[in-house]
Amino acid sequence: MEAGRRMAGNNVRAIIGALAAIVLGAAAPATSQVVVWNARAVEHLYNRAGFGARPSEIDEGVAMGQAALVERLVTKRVDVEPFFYERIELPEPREMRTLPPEELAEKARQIRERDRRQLLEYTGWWLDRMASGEDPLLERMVLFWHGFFTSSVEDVKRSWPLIQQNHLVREKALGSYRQLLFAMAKDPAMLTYLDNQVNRKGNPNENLAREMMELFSLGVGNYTEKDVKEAARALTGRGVSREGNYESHPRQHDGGVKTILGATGKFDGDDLVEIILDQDACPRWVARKLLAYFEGVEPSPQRSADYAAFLKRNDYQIQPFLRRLFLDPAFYRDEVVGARVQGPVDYMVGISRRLGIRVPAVVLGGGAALLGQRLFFPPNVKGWDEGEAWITTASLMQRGNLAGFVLGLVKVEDVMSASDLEDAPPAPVEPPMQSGTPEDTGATDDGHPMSGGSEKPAAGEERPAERRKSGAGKFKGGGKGGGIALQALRRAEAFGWTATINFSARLSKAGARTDAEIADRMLDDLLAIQAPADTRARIREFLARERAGLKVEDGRLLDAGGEAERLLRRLAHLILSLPEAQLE
Amino acid sequence: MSTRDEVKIMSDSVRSTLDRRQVLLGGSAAIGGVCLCSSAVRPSLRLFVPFPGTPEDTAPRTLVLLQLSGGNDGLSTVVPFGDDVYNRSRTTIRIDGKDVLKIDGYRGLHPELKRLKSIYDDGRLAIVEGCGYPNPIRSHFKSMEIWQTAQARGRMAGEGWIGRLCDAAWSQDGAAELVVHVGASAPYSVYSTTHPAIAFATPEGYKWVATGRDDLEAYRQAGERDDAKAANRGVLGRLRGVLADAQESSVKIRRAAASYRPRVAYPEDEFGNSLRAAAAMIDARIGSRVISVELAGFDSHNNQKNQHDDRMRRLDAGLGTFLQDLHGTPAGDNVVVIVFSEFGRRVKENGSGGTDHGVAAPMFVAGTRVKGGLHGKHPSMTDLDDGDLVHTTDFRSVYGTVIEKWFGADHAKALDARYPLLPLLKV
Repeated sequence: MEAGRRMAGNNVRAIIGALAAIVLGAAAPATSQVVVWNARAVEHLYNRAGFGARPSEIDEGVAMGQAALVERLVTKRVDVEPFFYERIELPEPREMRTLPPEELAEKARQIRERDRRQLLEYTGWWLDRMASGEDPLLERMVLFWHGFFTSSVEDVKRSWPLIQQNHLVREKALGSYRQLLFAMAKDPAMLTYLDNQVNRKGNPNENLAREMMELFSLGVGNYTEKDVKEAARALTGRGVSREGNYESHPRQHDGGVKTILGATGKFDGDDLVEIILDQDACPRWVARKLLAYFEGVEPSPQRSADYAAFLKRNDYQIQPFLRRLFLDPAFYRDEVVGARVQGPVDYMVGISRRLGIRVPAVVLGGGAALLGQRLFFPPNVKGWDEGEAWITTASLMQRGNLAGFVLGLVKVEDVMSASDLEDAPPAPVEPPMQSGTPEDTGATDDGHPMSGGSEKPAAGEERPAERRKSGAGKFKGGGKGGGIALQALRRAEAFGWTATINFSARLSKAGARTDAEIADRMLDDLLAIQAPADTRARIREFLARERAGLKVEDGRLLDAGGEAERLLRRLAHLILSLPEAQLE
Repeated sequence: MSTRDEVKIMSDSVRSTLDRRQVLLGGSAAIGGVCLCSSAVRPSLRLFVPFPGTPEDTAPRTLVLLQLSGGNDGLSTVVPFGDDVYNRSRTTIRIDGKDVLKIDGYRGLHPELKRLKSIYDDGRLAIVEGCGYPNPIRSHFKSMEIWQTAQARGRMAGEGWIGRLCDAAWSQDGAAELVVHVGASAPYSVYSTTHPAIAFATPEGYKWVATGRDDLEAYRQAGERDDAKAANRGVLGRLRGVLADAQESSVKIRRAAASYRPRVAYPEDEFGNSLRAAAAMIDARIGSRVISVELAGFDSHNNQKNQHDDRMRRLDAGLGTFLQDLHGTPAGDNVVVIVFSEFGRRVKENGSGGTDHGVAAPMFVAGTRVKGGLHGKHPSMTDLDDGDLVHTTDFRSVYGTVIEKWFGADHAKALDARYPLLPLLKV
């Protein structure tokens, strides 16, 4: 028996593709732009506009129809209790001077720890929001903007401004890019991250000015070096108050005449933003970034230009842009569907959604960090590189290991074990948890350097290294954040968390009995894409072989109890480790 | 008998990954008879490609490519302490002549580069001054792309330059470990569709954990692909290739790292760990010809001194240890290291004790068989382009020299242009 849902979808997909090809290639009249609305299309929409669909959501989406589902995703917000956070700050210098050194150090440590926890809790709250699926598009857009207007706690060094920045993004995620750009040019975390608090009249610092034009609005080639220098002057005096709020310092502002992108005047920061928004390159840049993110392929210049014009006509409003995109038949074309490589957050949250289980946020976040995407720790001001760059030989294997972890099959120790190396020397002794170096993990134990830990030399730099600690302390593949992520997973292990899954019951309910039916159903439910025929055949073969090994007849597996359930989990582990499981 | 035929015979009973790569490389006709079905046993098989011209070489020549990300301030690395313009331009971050590790009366190394200075004095470190390229770009990302592709158009021009080197020098070598990046995400330099790099941040845990007896084999099969099938073109085909490479290299990499006993203690930071892993792979001769590593954190717009001093300390501890560890070993003596960054920084410091994005900067080339000392020409400190140093050597001359003189390949083929080669190597 064929896998019903998605196999049928394939034919439809071909039709959509053909239509899209006609529309794109021959500029056919708009009347021919039709999306065949089926399970495949619904899942695609949920993959991109959210973090994957539950089987029930797919059925519901098909029944609702495209227009209604798109409208709901684009317009329906949910009422969520906001996260409580506060400004956590080191004591005033005057107070610090009165304390004995040990007490002072202890106090500072406690404050740093509180601040670290606050960001960790916020990250967890955010990941839970993504996994809940209550407002998929909002969370997808918050993640998009977090990579677009990015700031790192490694430089900002406080949780509060970053949570505040995330709230700003959350508020405007589907609103106006225009407003976002104005707000980001005054955002305390951003001003700190890009050194604008030291951008002063007569002593300009170009960091914010350059990245604003290069990454936040125009792109290289659409401004000159002179524009960068002049824009930096316009931004002079924008800083952060002692309380951590935006503050304008008129005496540090260079009020002189500047020439920026062809306009001349006594410009300030807001004028600069207006000038940037007036450039044709600006909607083009934003449209291109959004299209590439949502479609997973670089848009053609014509498609970019088309959407850029639309964005400009709508005064940079994001909501109509996304509505148009999700209704656009070209969004469902062959080149796009199933071809986007999931990012680490997509992968971890997607696993929990497709398995239909609640995975603790610490595992979602720790897993994503292991795979190279630690929220609030972007690698640089460009955010994370999306697409195939996520997949290395190491990260691909670690994704599978993380899936095994979530399924309760793989322990951290199993990953670190070298027992399969036969003649190799004994496996390294497990290091203590705090094994990262200051560089790896920051000044505090999780890389949340409130007080400039990166300036310290490496711990034990001159020590002998017969037994390398920090290397063995990293689960992956992970560089920065590897140590802390591992710690998060171990914490979940120590807490005794296990996923409550009953594949046997689930499959019974779905009416799957035979090897082929079970394999197909598992592939359909656990993959975000349609499995190709060769994979389908291999997975069926694997299941048939292992089922026979249990001395159970084909069709009776689900009655075989614990051994069957364990086999089904192994099957799920295998499926989630496949190259196919990295796509959406 | 061609090399390819030999491989076919060698792999008659065991299908080697070379087959997969051959398919990838468009050589499917040559292995038409090889079935792409599974095989339970797949011992590692590596094709040793004889290196042209140097029969005395027992270990393959290797390149270690070290990327300093963020824009390393060249003027604080090789310090022109004897230059008035330097001293006037750097009011707060100036490094005093009495502190630098003097090379001559004009320039010296950053005070933290003690190990590298002694390697320089030993004649194993070449400093190529004033490296850059025409029409410099001051964007981190675009400029880095130019360094990573050796093309003015960056990624738009195609693959990374190491990928191009592989095509030019080892087109028949299909080993997964041919190019390795030690770090979380591989830089574009090693991006290649024909010779994709393997990458890991730490060798420990570089594996997929099988939870049943047959699961590993099933997982391995997921990396098989038949070129004729449409599903194997495009991204899924490439991901299957990644899986195959991961499985091919997993045990080799972990074994090499676990059994390696360095002669010098490496610093216990991320950078030190990555170089230790590199040394382990070189020592184990697993067939890696290019190993890429990275040290990040050079973007010093603000309060540069502490940050840059720390970077120099780590650079010296990691790279200095690595070079000492390898020196005098047969495999280690066949290693050349190139150190680069996407740009240097502006001559005049900014108002916040930092420096903004600049242009030309020195490169390092190091190794036992490197002709140490100063190369190229120090850029003029007075004849500036809008406040920036003008390059005197195109960085592609350094790449070209290594491609041509070290690996015996045609640099014009790999770089799409000819560049004057430099006397950097004792070969």
